[in-house]
Amino acid sequence: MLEIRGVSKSFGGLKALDCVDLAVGPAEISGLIGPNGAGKSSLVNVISGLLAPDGGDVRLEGRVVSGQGPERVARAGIGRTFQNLRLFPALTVLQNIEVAAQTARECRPDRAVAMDLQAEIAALGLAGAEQLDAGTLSYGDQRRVEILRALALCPDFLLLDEPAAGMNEAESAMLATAIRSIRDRHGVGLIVIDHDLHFIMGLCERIAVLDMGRKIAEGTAQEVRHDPKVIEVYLGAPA
Amino acid sequence: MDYALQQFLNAASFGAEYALIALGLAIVFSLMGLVNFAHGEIIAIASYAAFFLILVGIDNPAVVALVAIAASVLGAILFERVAFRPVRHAPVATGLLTAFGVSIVVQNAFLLFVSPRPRPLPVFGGLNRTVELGGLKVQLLQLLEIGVTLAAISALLVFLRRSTLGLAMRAAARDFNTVRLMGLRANRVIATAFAISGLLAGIAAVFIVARRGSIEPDMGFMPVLKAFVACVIGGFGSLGGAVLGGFVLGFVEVGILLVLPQSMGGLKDAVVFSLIALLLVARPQGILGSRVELGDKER
Repeated sequence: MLEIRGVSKSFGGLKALDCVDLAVGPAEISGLIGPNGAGKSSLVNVISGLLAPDGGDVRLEGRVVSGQGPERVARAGIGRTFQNLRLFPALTVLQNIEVAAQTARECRPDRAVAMDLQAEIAALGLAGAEQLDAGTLSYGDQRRVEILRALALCPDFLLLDEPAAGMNEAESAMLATAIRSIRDRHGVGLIVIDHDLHFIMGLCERIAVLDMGRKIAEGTAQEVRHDPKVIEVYLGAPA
Repeated sequence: MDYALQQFLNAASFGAEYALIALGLAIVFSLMGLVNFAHGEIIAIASYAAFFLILVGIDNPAVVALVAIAASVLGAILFERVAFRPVRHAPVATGLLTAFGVSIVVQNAFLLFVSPRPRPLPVFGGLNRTVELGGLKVQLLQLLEIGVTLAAISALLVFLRRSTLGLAMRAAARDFNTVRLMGLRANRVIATAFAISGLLAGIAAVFIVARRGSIEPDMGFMPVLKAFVACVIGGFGSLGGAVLGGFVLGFVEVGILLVLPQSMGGLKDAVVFSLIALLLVARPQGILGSRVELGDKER
């Protein structure tokens, strides 16, 4: 269980996150949506340990993991990808993955042994690209390598920050299938951020909506879609 | 022919010395953006360790050299642990001032507890003898310096390309936070970088002491200044650039001494630095440096 409990974060006078609660169970795919500047990336940064929350905490299986630096979070079993690609461009695809796999071998050896990285690479359609420098891949392929790299941590939870950005409809449909397959095979719980509501609604079992740093709605795709507050945020208030 | 070869070896051995020290500066800078001006004191620590060893009666040059190198590795790790770790997340200027602080403290410790004046240390003097190599007379020290430097650079290259920690260090030089998000402990990666920089400085120290035959508290200053220049020439933070810059500086220095008339030998540094200034006008990022790419929302 990954629990975000009353997390607040301010940058100067700007409240990026205001007492946000969120819980994701094992093997659950949870969506996080909201307009630009709603605080989605800030929340992912807090969960992954890049930012320390001003208030509240993040707990993994009941243990507080927030405010202890990103390496602790990663070692505890939370992997992430980035909205702006953050691969190591001068390393090959395999070397990128290896950096994370090394941590898995150290921190969770049983799972690391069970993880067949070659199969995962193939499952995401990157077979044959292992020895290419990550920086030379297409945008969509780099996104897939980021997912593989995060998966190589053998995490309990994965945070995917706009995994379908820059992909066309066919590509994002394939990505959704791949994400579901990762969940099914590894029992990983996921938080997926995306702007593409169609993508999120089709993929996620539960969806939370952020606006101005607050969680304004949470529920199934159906519930969220018909929530008047969500409609207001996305379409503007009725005149 | 003999003369040309002699000058070539001269230049290459100076270049090797600069490259070793510059590589240590660059590896730390590439990871944490710290210009470690206390790097010269790591050279001094190695040299004084050798000095103390002689005092207690151990004078086998090989043993003394190994202990000196070990001392500089420990010294570098200690600097990081005691002085640089507490200011790791502080602004760049804080790190720079901390480095100067460490440098002053260590220099003054040697000054107070040993002597403000140079002390003779002829333990590596045997390296200054001439050897025959295929009918040519060359200095053993220069051959060793060039050979050991090339070996050290190759070993470092293999480490960075083949080992997982090396991969992590290459990745971290680009993007430290992402490496931490892959679960690598920042402390371990940085301590390793300092240990490597100490190792390279220790090797350089053995050659420096062999050449000068003495030690003094601020003996590390000039070598590090030269190494800093080498880094700037090559492109700061680029490891290849540090090596290239070191050798370029060595060859330019020796070349200018050859070109300048004897009476103007004192102008060597002025000419060298003018040339470097011209180079930097044309390529402000150094020979191998690339422009820093920003544009990442999370930085």
